[in-house]
Amino acid sequence: MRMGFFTDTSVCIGCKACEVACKEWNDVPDHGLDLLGMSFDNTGALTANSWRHVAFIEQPRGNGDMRWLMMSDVCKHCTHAACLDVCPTGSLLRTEFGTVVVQEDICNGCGYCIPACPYGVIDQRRGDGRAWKCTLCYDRIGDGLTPACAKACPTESIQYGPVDELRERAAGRVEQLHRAGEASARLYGHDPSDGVGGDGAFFLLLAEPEVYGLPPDPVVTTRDLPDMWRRAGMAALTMAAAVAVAFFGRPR
Amino acid sequence: MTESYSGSYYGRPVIKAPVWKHDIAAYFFAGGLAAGSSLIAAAADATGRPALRRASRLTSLAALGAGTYFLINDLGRPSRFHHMLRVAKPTSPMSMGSWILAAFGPAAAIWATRTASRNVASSGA
Repeated sequence: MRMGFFTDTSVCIGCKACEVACKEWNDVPDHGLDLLGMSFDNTGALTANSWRHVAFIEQPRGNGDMRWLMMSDVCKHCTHAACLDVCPTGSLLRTEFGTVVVQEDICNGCGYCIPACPYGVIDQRRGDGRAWKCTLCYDRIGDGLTPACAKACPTESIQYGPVDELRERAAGRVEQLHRAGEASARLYGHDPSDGVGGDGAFFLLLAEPEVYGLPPDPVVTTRDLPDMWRRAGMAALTMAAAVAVAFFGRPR
Repeated sequence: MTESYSGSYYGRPVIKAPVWKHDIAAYFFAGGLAAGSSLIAAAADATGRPALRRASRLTSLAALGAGTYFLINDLGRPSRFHHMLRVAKPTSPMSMGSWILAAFGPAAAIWATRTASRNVASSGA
Protein backbone atom coordinates (compact mmCIF):
# COMPACT_ATOMS: atom_id res chain seq x y z
CA MET A 1 0.00 0.00 0.00
CA ARG A 2 1.24 3.49 -0.84
CA MET A 3 2.11 5.37 2.37
CA GLY A 4 2.82 9.07 2.73
CA PHE A 5 2.57 12.30 4.67
CA PHE A 6 -0.17 14.89 4.79
CA THR A 7 1.37 18.01 6.32
CA ASP A 8 -1.35 20.41 7.46
CA THR A 9 0.47 23.73 7.83
CA SER A 10 -2.59 25.41 9.38
CA VAL A 11 -1.79 23.75 12.72
CA CYS A 12 2.01 23.89 12.55
CA ILE A 13 3.46 25.83 15.51
CA GLY A 14 7.06 25.88 14.23
CA CYS A 15 8.52 23.85 17.11
CA LYS A 16 10.97 21.98 14.82
CA ALA A 17 10.42 18.73 16.76
CA CYS A 18 10.16 17.06 13.33
CA GLU A 19 13.61 18.32 12.31
CA VAL A 20 15.15 17.09 15.56
CA ALA A 21 13.38 13.72 15.59
CA CYS A 22 14.43 13.11 11.98
CA LYS A 23 18.06 13.90 12.73
CA GLU A 24 18.05 11.72 15.85
CA TRP A 25 16.45 8.68 14.26
CA ASN A 26 18.27 8.80 10.93
CA ASP A 27 21.62 9.80 12.41
CA VAL A 28 21.80 12.84 10.12
CA PRO A 29 24.91 14.94 10.85
CA ASP A 30 24.53 18.53 12.02
CA HIS A 31 25.33 21.34 9.60
CA GLY A 32 26.88 23.68 12.11
CA LEU A 33 25.26 26.66 13.82
CA ASP A 34 23.83 29.10 11.32
CA LEU A 35 21.94 32.29 12.05
CA LEU A 36 20.37 33.04 8.71
CA GLY A 37 18.25 36.08 9.50
CA MET A 38 15.24 34.32 7.97
CA SER A 39 12.78 34.75 10.85
CA PHE A 40 13.09 31.67 13.09
CA ASP A 41 14.34 29.56 10.19
CA ASN A 42 18.01 28.75 10.76
CA THR A 43 17.89 25.57 8.67
CA GLY A 44 17.36 27.37 5.36
CA ALA A 45 16.33 24.57 3.05
CA LEU A 46 16.01 20.84 2.63
CA THR A 47 19.57 19.56 2.23
CA ALA A 48 21.58 16.36 2.58
CA ASN A 49 21.76 17.14 6.29
CA SER A 50 18.19 18.41 6.80
CA TRP A 51 15.44 16.04 5.70
CA ARG A 52 12.68 18.08 7.36
CA HIS A 53 12.79 21.86 7.09
CA VAL A 54 10.41 24.17 8.93
CA ALA A 55 9.78 27.35 6.95
CA PHE A 56 8.82 30.54 8.80
CA ILE A 57 7.11 33.34 6.91
CA GLU A 58 6.15 36.65 8.51
CA GLN A 59 3.52 37.70 6.04
CA PRO A 60 2.41 41.35 6.00
CA ARG A 61 -1.33 41.90 5.88
CA GLY A 62 -2.94 44.99 4.37
CA ASN A 63 -3.59 46.80 7.64
CA GLY A 64 0.03 46.97 8.87
CA ASP A 65 -0.50 43.74 10.76
CA MET A 66 1.22 40.42 9.93
CA ARG A 67 0.50 36.73 10.18
CA TRP A 68 2.70 33.73 10.80
CA LEU A 69 2.97 30.97 8.26
CA MET A 70 4.90 27.87 9.28
CA MET A 71 5.39 24.77 7.24
CA SER A 72 7.38 21.60 7.71
CA ASP A 73 8.76 20.73 4.27
CA VAL A 74 9.97 17.27 3.27
CA CYS A 75 10.75 15.10 0.23
CA LYS A 76 7.53 14.76 -1.80
CA HIS A 77 8.01 11.08 -2.76
CA CYS A 78 6.63 11.86 -6.25
CA THR A 79 4.55 9.38 -8.26
CA HIS A 80 6.80 10.18 -11.25
CA ALA A 81 10.14 10.78 -9.52
CA ALA A 82 12.81 12.31 -11.76
CA CYS A 83 15.59 11.51 -9.25
CA LEU A 84 14.68 7.85 -9.53
CA ASP A 85 14.42 8.00 -13.34
CA VAL A 86 17.90 9.45 -13.86
CA CYS A 87 19.81 7.46 -11.20
CA PRO A 88 22.36 5.43 -13.22
CA THR A 89 23.28 3.00 -10.42
CA GLY A 90 19.83 1.88 -9.26
CA SER A 91 20.71 3.34 -5.86
CA LEU A 92 17.40 5.21 -5.81
CA LEU A 93 14.52 2.78 -5.64
CA ARG A 94 10.75 2.70 -5.27
CA THR A 95 9.85 0.77 -2.14
CA GLU A 96 6.83 -1.46 -1.51
CA PHE A 97 5.30 1.57 0.24
CA GLY A 98 5.49 3.68 -2.93
CA THR A 99 8.22 5.83 -1.39
CA VAL A 100 11.53 6.80 -3.00
CA VAL A 101 14.69 5.84 -1.10
CA VAL A 102 18.46 6.21 -1.70
CA GLN A 103 20.50 3.09 -0.93
CA GLU A 104 23.59 4.52 0.72
CA ASP A 105 25.69 1.42 -0.01
CA ILE A 106 25.04 1.77 -3.75
CA CYS A 107 25.12 5.53 -4.43
CA ASN A 108 28.40 6.58 -6.07
CA GLY A 109 27.73 10.30 -5.87
CA CYS A 110 27.28 10.98 -9.59
CA GLY A 111 25.01 13.90 -8.65
CA TYR A 112 22.50 13.44 -11.48
CA CYS A 113 19.49 13.28 -9.13
CA ILE A 114 20.27 16.70 -7.62
CA PRO A 115 19.38 19.00 -10.55
CA ALA A 116 16.72 16.48 -11.64
CA CYS A 117 14.52 17.05 -8.57
CA PRO A 118 11.85 19.66 -9.43
CA TYR A 119 11.55 20.53 -5.73
CA GLY A 120 15.28 20.90 -4.96
CA VAL A 121 15.14 18.26 -2.22
CA ILE A 122 17.86 15.67 -2.80
CA ASP A 123 21.38 16.94 -2.17
CA GLN A 124 25.01 15.82 -2.02
CA ARG A 125 26.63 15.65 1.40
CA ARG A 126 30.00 17.41 1.42
CA GLY A 127 32.88 15.25 2.60
CA ASP A 128 30.77 12.16 2.01
CA GLY A 129 30.02 12.55 -1.69
CA ARG A 130 26.74 10.65 -1.73
CA ALA A 131 23.19 11.93 -2.21
CA TRP A 132 20.85 11.96 0.78
CA LYS A 133 17.21 12.73 1.47
CA CYS A 134 14.14 11.70 3.47
CA THR A 135 13.48 7.94 3.41
CA LEU A 136 10.01 8.32 4.91
CA CYS A 137 11.69 6.31 7.69
CA TYR A 138 11.82 3.14 5.58
CA ASP A 139 13.38 1.31 8.53
CA ARG A 140 10.46 2.28 10.80
CA ILE A 141 7.41 1.89 8.56
CA GLY A 142 8.48 -1.63 7.60
CA ASP A 143 7.99 -2.53 11.27
CA GLY A 144 4.61 -0.78 11.42
CA LEU A 145 6.03 2.26 13.20
CA THR A 146 5.21 5.88 12.38
CA PRO A 147 8.04 7.94 10.79
CA ALA A 148 10.02 9.88 13.40
CA CYS A 149 8.83 13.37 12.34
CA ALA A 150 5.14 12.47 12.38
CA LYS A 151 5.58 10.66 15.71
CA ALA A 152 7.23 13.73 17.27
CA CYS A 153 4.80 16.32 15.85
CA PRO A 154 2.83 17.65 18.86
CA THR A 155 -0.05 19.16 16.83
CA GLU A 156 -0.57 16.40 14.25
CA SER A 157 0.43 18.88 11.56
CA ILE A 158 2.41 15.96 10.11
CA GLN A 159 0.12 13.02 9.52
CA TYR A 160 1.32 9.64 8.28
CA GLY A 161 -0.84 7.00 6.65
CA PRO A 162 -2.08 5.40 3.40
CA VAL A 163 -2.03 8.13 0.73
CA ASP A 164 -5.67 7.47 -0.33
CA GLU A 165 -6.87 7.93 3.23
CA LEU A 166 -4.73 11.07 3.69
CA ARG A 167 -6.14 12.60 0.49
CA GLU A 168 -9.69 12.12 1.77
CA ARG A 169 -8.79 13.58 5.14
CA ALA A 170 -7.05 16.56 3.48
CA ALA A 171 -10.09 17.31 1.30
CA GLY A 172 -12.27 17.35 4.42
CA ARG A 173 -9.84 19.65 6.23
CA VAL A 174 -9.79 22.20 3.38
CA GLU A 175 -13.59 22.23 3.34
CA GLN A 176 -13.65 22.74 7.10
CA LEU A 177 -11.21 25.68 6.86
CA HIS A 178 -13.17 27.27 4.00
CA ARG A 179 -16.37 27.03 6.07
CA ALA A 180 -14.51 28.65 8.97
CA GLY A 181 -13.68 31.60 6.71
CA GLU A 182 -10.02 30.76 5.84
CA ALA A 183 -10.42 31.21 2.11
CA SER A 184 -6.67 30.98 1.41
CA ALA A 185 -6.51 27.30 2.44
CA ARG A 186 -5.55 25.04 -0.44
CA LEU A 187 -3.98 21.63 -1.01
CA TYR A 188 -0.59 21.24 -2.70
CA GLY A 189 0.72 18.06 -4.32
CA HIS A 190 -2.50 16.07 -3.74
CA ASP A 191 -3.57 15.96 -7.40
CA PRO A 192 -2.59 12.75 -9.30
CA SER A 193 -2.97 14.65 -12.59
CA ASP A 194 -0.26 17.25 -11.85
CA GLY A 195 3.20 17.34 -13.49
CA VAL A 196 4.69 14.74 -11.15
CA GLY A 197 1.62 12.48 -10.96
CA GLY A 198 0.85 13.67 -7.44
CA ASP A 199 3.03 13.58 -4.33
CA GLY A 200 3.20 10.87 -1.70
CA ALA A 201 3.90 13.70 0.74
CA PHE A 202 1.48 16.58 0.17
CA PHE A 203 0.46 19.72 2.02
CA LEU A 204 -2.30 22.04 3.09
CA LEU A 205 -1.03 25.60 2.53
CA LEU A 206 -2.44 28.99 3.53
CA ALA A 207 -0.77 30.97 0.71
CA GLU A 208 0.65 30.49 -2.78
CA PRO A 209 3.26 27.72 -2.98
CA GLU A 210 6.00 30.22 -3.94
CA VAL A 211 5.65 31.90 -0.53
CA TYR A 212 6.87 28.66 1.07
CA GLY A 213 9.61 28.16 -1.54
CA LEU A 214 7.63 25.50 -3.40
CA PRO A 215 7.35 25.40 -7.23
CA PRO A 216 3.81 26.34 -8.30
CA ASP A 217 3.66 23.82 -11.16
CA PRO A 218 6.31 21.11 -10.73
CA VAL A 219 7.00 18.83 -13.67
CA VAL A 220 8.97 15.57 -13.69
CA THR A 221 12.17 16.68 -15.41
CA THR A 222 12.42 13.49 -17.48
CA ARG A 223 9.20 14.45 -19.29
CA ASP A 224 11.20 15.70 -22.29
CA LEU A 225 13.53 12.71 -22.41
CA PRO A 226 12.11 11.08 -25.60
CA ASP A 227 12.60 14.41 -27.37
CA MET A 228 16.16 14.68 -26.04
CA TRP A 229 17.01 11.16 -27.24
CA ARG A 230 15.62 12.04 -30.67
CA ARG A 231 17.79 15.16 -30.84
CA ALA A 232 20.91 13.25 -29.68
CA GLY A 233 20.21 10.67 -32.41
CA MET A 234 19.90 13.41 -35.00
CA ALA A 235 23.18 14.97 -33.82
CA ALA A 236 24.93 11.58 -34.16
CA LEU A 237 23.54 11.10 -37.67
CA THR A 238 24.65 14.60 -38.64
CA MET A 239 28.16 13.86 -37.39
CA ALA A 240 28.29 10.59 -39.36
CA ALA A 241 26.96 12.37 -42.45
CA ALA A 242 29.62 15.08 -42.14
CA VAL A 243 32.37 12.44 -42.09
CA ALA A 244 30.79 10.62 -45.02
CA VAL A 245 30.63 13.81 -47.08
CA ALA A 246 34.24 14.70 -46.17
CA PHE A 247 35.61 11.34 -47.30
CA PHE A 248 33.29 10.19 -50.05
CA GLY A 249 31.78 13.45 -51.29
CA ARG A 250 34.58 14.35 -53.69
CA PRO A 251 37.08 12.57 -55.89
CA ARG A 252 40.52 11.86 -54.42
CA MET B 1 -2.62 36.74 -7.63
CA THR B 2 -3.85 37.79 -4.23
CA GLU B 3 -2.28 40.54 -2.12
CA SER B 4 -0.40 37.97 -0.04
CA TYR B 5 1.75 36.88 -2.97
CA SER B 6 5.47 37.43 -2.54
CA GLY B 7 7.89 36.10 -5.15
CA SER B 8 9.94 33.59 -3.22
CA TYR B 9 11.08 32.21 0.13
CA TYR B 10 13.74 34.74 1.20
CA GLY B 11 14.98 34.88 -2.40
CA ARG B 12 16.18 31.27 -2.26
CA PRO B 13 16.11 29.16 -5.44
CA VAL B 14 13.47 26.42 -5.63
CA ILE B 15 15.80 23.85 -7.21
CA LYS B 16 19.36 22.84 -6.39
CA ALA B 17 22.28 23.78 -8.62
CA PRO B 18 24.14 20.85 -10.21
CA VAL B 19 27.17 19.65 -8.22
CA TRP B 20 29.15 18.70 -11.33
CA LYS B 21 32.64 20.19 -11.58
CA HIS B 22 34.70 21.10 -14.68
CA ASP B 23 35.33 17.35 -15.22
CA ILE B 24 31.96 16.94 -16.91
CA ALA B 25 32.65 19.66 -19.48
CA ALA B 26 36.08 18.11 -20.09
CA TYR B 27 34.44 14.71 -20.52
CA PHE B 28 31.98 16.04 -23.09
CA PHE B 29 34.88 17.41 -25.12
CA ALA B 30 36.97 14.24 -24.78
CA GLY B 31 33.99 12.00 -25.55
CA GLY B 32 33.16 14.02 -28.65
CA LEU B 33 36.78 13.91 -29.76
CA ALA B 34 36.85 10.12 -29.33
CA ALA B 35 33.61 9.64 -31.27
CA GLY B 36 34.73 11.93 -34.09
CA SER B 37 38.15 10.28 -34.27
CA SER B 38 36.59 6.84 -34.49
CA LEU B 39 34.32 7.98 -37.30
CA ILE B 40 37.32 9.39 -39.16
CA ALA B 41 39.22 6.14 -38.52
CA ALA B 42 36.36 4.11 -39.99
CA ALA B 43 36.22 6.36 -43.05
CA ALA B 44 40.04 6.25 -43.40
CA ASP B 45 39.86 2.45 -43.21
CA ALA B 46 37.17 2.34 -45.91
CA THR B 47 39.07 4.68 -48.25
CA GLY B 48 42.52 3.12 -47.73
CA ARG B 49 44.38 5.81 -45.76
CA PRO B 50 46.54 3.83 -43.26
CA ALA B 51 48.39 6.81 -41.75
CA LEU B 52 45.16 8.69 -41.00
CA ARG B 53 43.57 5.47 -39.71
CA ARG B 54 46.43 4.94 -37.26
CA ALA B 55 46.46 8.54 -36.00
CA SER B 56 42.67 8.72 -35.56
CA ARG B 57 42.45 5.33 -33.79
CA LEU B 58 45.18 6.31 -31.33
CA THR B 59 43.56 9.73 -30.78
CA SER B 60 40.23 8.04 -30.13
CA LEU B 61 41.66 5.69 -27.51
CA ALA B 62 43.59 8.47 -25.77
CA ALA B 63 40.54 10.78 -25.71
CA LEU B 64 38.38 7.97 -24.41
CA GLY B 65 40.86 7.22 -21.63
CA ALA B 66 40.94 10.88 -20.63
CA GLY B 67 37.14 11.08 -20.75
CA THR B 68 36.79 8.03 -18.52
CA TYR B 69 39.21 9.58 -16.03
CA PHE B 70 37.18 12.83 -15.96
CA LEU B 71 33.92 10.94 -15.47
CA ILE B 72 35.23 8.88 -12.57
CA ASN B 73 37.01 11.85 -11.01
CA ASP B 74 33.72 13.79 -10.85
CA LEU B 75 31.96 11.13 -8.76
CA GLY B 76 31.38 11.74 -5.06
CA ARG B 77 32.61 8.19 -4.51
CA PRO B 78 35.05 7.45 -7.37
CA SER B 79 35.85 3.95 -6.03
CA ARG B 80 32.23 3.01 -6.77
CA PHE B 81 32.39 3.91 -10.48
CA HIS B 82 31.51 0.33 -11.45
CA HIS B 83 28.09 0.71 -9.78
CA MET B 84 27.14 2.46 -13.04
CA LEU B 85 26.94 -1.01 -14.60
CA ARG B 86 24.50 -2.52 -12.06
CA VAL B 87 21.49 -1.46 -14.14
CA ALA B 88 20.66 -0.26 -17.66
CA LYS B 89 18.00 2.45 -17.69
CA PRO B 90 16.78 4.23 -20.85
CA THR B 91 15.30 6.93 -18.54
CA SER B 92 18.84 7.84 -17.45
CA PRO B 93 21.10 9.32 -20.14
CA MET B 94 24.01 8.79 -17.74
CA SER B 95 23.22 5.07 -17.51
CA MET B 96 23.01 4.74 -21.30
CA GLY B 97 26.22 6.75 -21.67
CA SER B 98 28.01 4.46 -19.21
CA TRP B 99 27.01 1.41 -21.23
CA ILE B 100 28.02 3.02 -24.52
CA LEU B 101 31.38 3.89 -22.95
CA ALA B 102 31.72 0.32 -21.63
CA ALA B 103 31.21 -1.02 -25.17
CA PHE B 104 33.14 1.71 -27.01
CA GLY B 105 36.21 1.61 -24.72
CA PRO B 106 37.31 -2.00 -25.35
CA ALA B 107 36.48 -1.67 -29.06
CA ALA B 108 38.64 1.45 -29.35
CA ALA B 109 41.43 -0.32 -27.43
CA ILE B 110 41.32 -3.32 -29.78
CA TRP B 111 41.38 -1.13 -32.90
CA ALA B 112 44.23 0.97 -31.55
CA THR B 113 46.39 -2.01 -30.54
CA ARG B 114 45.73 -3.80 -33.85
CA THR B 115 46.77 -0.71 -35.78
CA ALA B 116 49.84 -0.23 -33.62
CA SER B 117 50.92 -3.88 -33.78
CA ARG B 118 50.35 -4.01 -37.57
CA ASN B 119 52.64 -1.02 -37.91
CA VAL B 120 55.30 -2.65 -35.75
CA ALA B 121 55.00 -5.85 -37.77
CA SER B 122 55.26 -4.03 -41.10
CA SER B 123 58.23 -1.90 -39.99
CA GLY B 124 59.96 -5.04 -38.66
CA ALA B 125 59.49 -6.84 -41.97
